[in-house]
Amino acid sequence: MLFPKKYQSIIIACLLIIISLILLSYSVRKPSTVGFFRGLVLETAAPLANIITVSFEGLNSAWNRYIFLVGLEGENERLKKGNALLIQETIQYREAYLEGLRLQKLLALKEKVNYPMIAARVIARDQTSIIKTILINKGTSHGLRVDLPVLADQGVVGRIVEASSHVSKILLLIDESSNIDALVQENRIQGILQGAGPHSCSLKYISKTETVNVGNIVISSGLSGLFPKGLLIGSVKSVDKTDNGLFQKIDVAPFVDFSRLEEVMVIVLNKDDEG
Amino acid sequence: MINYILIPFLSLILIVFQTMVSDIVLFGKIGVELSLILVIYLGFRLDIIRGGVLSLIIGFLRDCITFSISGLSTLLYVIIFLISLLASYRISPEKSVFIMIFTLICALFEGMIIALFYPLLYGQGVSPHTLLYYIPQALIVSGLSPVLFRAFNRVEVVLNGRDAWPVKRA
Repeated sequence: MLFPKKYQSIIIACLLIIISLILLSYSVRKPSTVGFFRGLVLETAAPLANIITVSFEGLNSAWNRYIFLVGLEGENERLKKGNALLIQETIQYREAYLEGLRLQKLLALKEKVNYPMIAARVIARDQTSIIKTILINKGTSHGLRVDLPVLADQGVVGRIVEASSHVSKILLLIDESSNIDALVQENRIQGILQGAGPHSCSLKYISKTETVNVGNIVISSGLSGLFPKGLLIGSVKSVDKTDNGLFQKIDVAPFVDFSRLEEVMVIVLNKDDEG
Repeated sequence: MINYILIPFLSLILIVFQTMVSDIVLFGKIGVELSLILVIYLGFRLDIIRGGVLSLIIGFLRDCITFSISGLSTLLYVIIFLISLLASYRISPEKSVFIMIFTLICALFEGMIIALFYPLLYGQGVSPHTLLYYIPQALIVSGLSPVLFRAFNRVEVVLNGRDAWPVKRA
């Protein structure tokens, strides 16, 4: 051995400290230098760190998902309640949105028809019985009266047959007792549109010599005085001339879907307009 | 010779592990310096040449991975190894209480040296908040030391057999 055995330990201790100090001073002088050994250690440590991180994350995930479930039931209950509230809220918003869309269409109708109009909400409908009627939430106190025409954004709905202070009854144009003076838009042939069941009407008193085609538009003629001229009613569904009588049998499909009516517009005509 | 490759590699895993534990489990709020216990263990188990070289390597590894002041950890670990070596003449590693107290002293000493070196290297002092950080860290390391001593002993048995690296002094 180079050194006496007596001092060996002290010399080695001193050597170790000197090496450490050299490393420290080198690192202080050149702090940004990585060096071969430092680089090697970092390169070796990186995959180890990755493995340990992945293992920890797996353990953490397993713990949170399967073991640490305290309070989960309460949280679940709270979330369910929150979800129910949110669904309810969403339905309300959707309903308001759809109502807005419908009212927008009615407003557009109001701009097209040059008569004062009152919007009303359908509060009841009776279309299963023989008489096809609906009730609206406006009445005489709102300026409504019997025989005023009622429209939806697609076209004519019917007319008021009864009016109380806050409620009015509308006779739908599909009711068999409903008669509207109408004409075929394309060739201006005039007839009487009568209700004919749940989803259709028939255009009566059109001579067999006249030509009416399927798909022709039927509008109000304005002659009876109840309905202003030019309101959309429906389109010709079928034409039958085989009957022995003088007139054709013409079926008309109304534009309005009466089963889905929610809001309507009542045209407030003066007595003079009707005349 | 194999121990000079295997032990540094296992030490590297230990250092990476303790860094990750501190980072992920304890959210970086506190460090658990298991490598310090390993160095103390080496002081109690190995002679000055083997233990000294391994402490130097472990310190260097820790420097590379965690320490911003490269070289400081190496110096500290060498000093702590030498202190442990001297203490091993008086304290038995079998007695847990002594090991805990000794580890606590070493951990506090380490914190103190870092606090002293910091202004010398960076020109500014360490905040009292940082100093307080070392106290719970030292307590945790101290508490873990008896368990870790047994664990390191088991590893030693697996690697070499109980008497392969005998205690320096009977």
